[in-house]
Amino acid sequence: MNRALGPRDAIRFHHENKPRTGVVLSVDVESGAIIVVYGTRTAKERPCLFVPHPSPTATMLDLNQPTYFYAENIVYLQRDATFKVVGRSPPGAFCSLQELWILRFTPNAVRDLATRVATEEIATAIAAAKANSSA
Amino acid sequence: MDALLMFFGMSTEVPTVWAFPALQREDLDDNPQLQQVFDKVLPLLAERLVGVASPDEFEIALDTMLGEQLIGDAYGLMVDLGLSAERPAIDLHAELRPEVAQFLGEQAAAHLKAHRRDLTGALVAVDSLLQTAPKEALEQARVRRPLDWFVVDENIPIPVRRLALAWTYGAVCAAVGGHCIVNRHRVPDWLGVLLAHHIATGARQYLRYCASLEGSPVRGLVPPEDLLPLADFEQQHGHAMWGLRLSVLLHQQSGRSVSRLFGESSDGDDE
Repeated sequence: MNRALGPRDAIRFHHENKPRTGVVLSVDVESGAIIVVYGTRTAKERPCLFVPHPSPTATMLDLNQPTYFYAENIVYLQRDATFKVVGRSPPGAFCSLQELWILRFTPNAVRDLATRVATEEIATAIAAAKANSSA
Repeated sequence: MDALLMFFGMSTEVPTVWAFPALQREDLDDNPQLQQVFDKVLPLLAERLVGVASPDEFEIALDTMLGEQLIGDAYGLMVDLGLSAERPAIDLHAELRPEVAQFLGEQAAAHLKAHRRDLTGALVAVDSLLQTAPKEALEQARVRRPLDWFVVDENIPIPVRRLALAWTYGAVCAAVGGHCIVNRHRVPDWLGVLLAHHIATGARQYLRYCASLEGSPVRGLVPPEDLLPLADFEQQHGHAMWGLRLSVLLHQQSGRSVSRLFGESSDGDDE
């Protein structure tokens, strides 16, 4: 059974049919959504947190090879997702991961999000109204 | 600025121990509160760090300790005693005592000497803070919790969390250095250098932070180019937090069990 997760927990979970090691960035209090950034072995020309192996950070995250954490590998999991806690991120590495994440919320990105959330809310409301009228 | 004010409160607790490496056993004789700190609290902090065998082990031990309630409690006790003890006058031109080189090593002493201004400046900042901080802020300093609590506090901008991490490392390392000097325990050179590095960096970041607060009495101790745009940090962070909330809503609305930030698709080349 999952214990209550918190930011900085390092977890192992399955995503896109692969085992992943990730760090919990945040847990949304209202919805219980868990926001995780997972690591990969693939080097790319993009901003990332690189964790060499061996290193103190790799030990604390239970990584067994050099690992890259990219902002595009941030995923939102439902509260009932299956995972195993394998470690805890060092505070400095956690700040770096949070920076990767938060830097994505540029003014343009936030404006775009606001539009999409509003549009989807309207769409949901219209669909609900249609369902009610046909019932 | 609530979060920063809260932080302001926390910051008072930390660097009071930066003076420790300058103390000698005799200094404790007429200060029973300080003696209690050295006899009961500091060994708890020091034993974990002094016993490590390598810089990697040191890093892991330091990060692990910061997250432990027991260490937070011990530190809180030290703060309580520190706040109730009489504070010595701060001499901006004070020199490092020779015992620092004797027990932490020559390299460590040279590093601290090179950063003497930051060390004394940080002590001045603490002192003025204790006199001017609101009562609520000082009460925050007494709350017993793990020392790294702020790392996951989403109300605090990340650059400020980084600064606080530096001065928290510095405070713990100063306490450990002080313990070694008072107990005449010689640490390996590499460990002395690590302790000195964290003490100096922590003092510098603390001083920068305090000097950057509006109306700070220590602003003159920091070059203008080292001041931090705290209000900008706060504004950018608030914006990002709003984005975060929206992105969670988007995830909920997607109805998927897993979704990516902004609903992006995977490159598919991850290993």
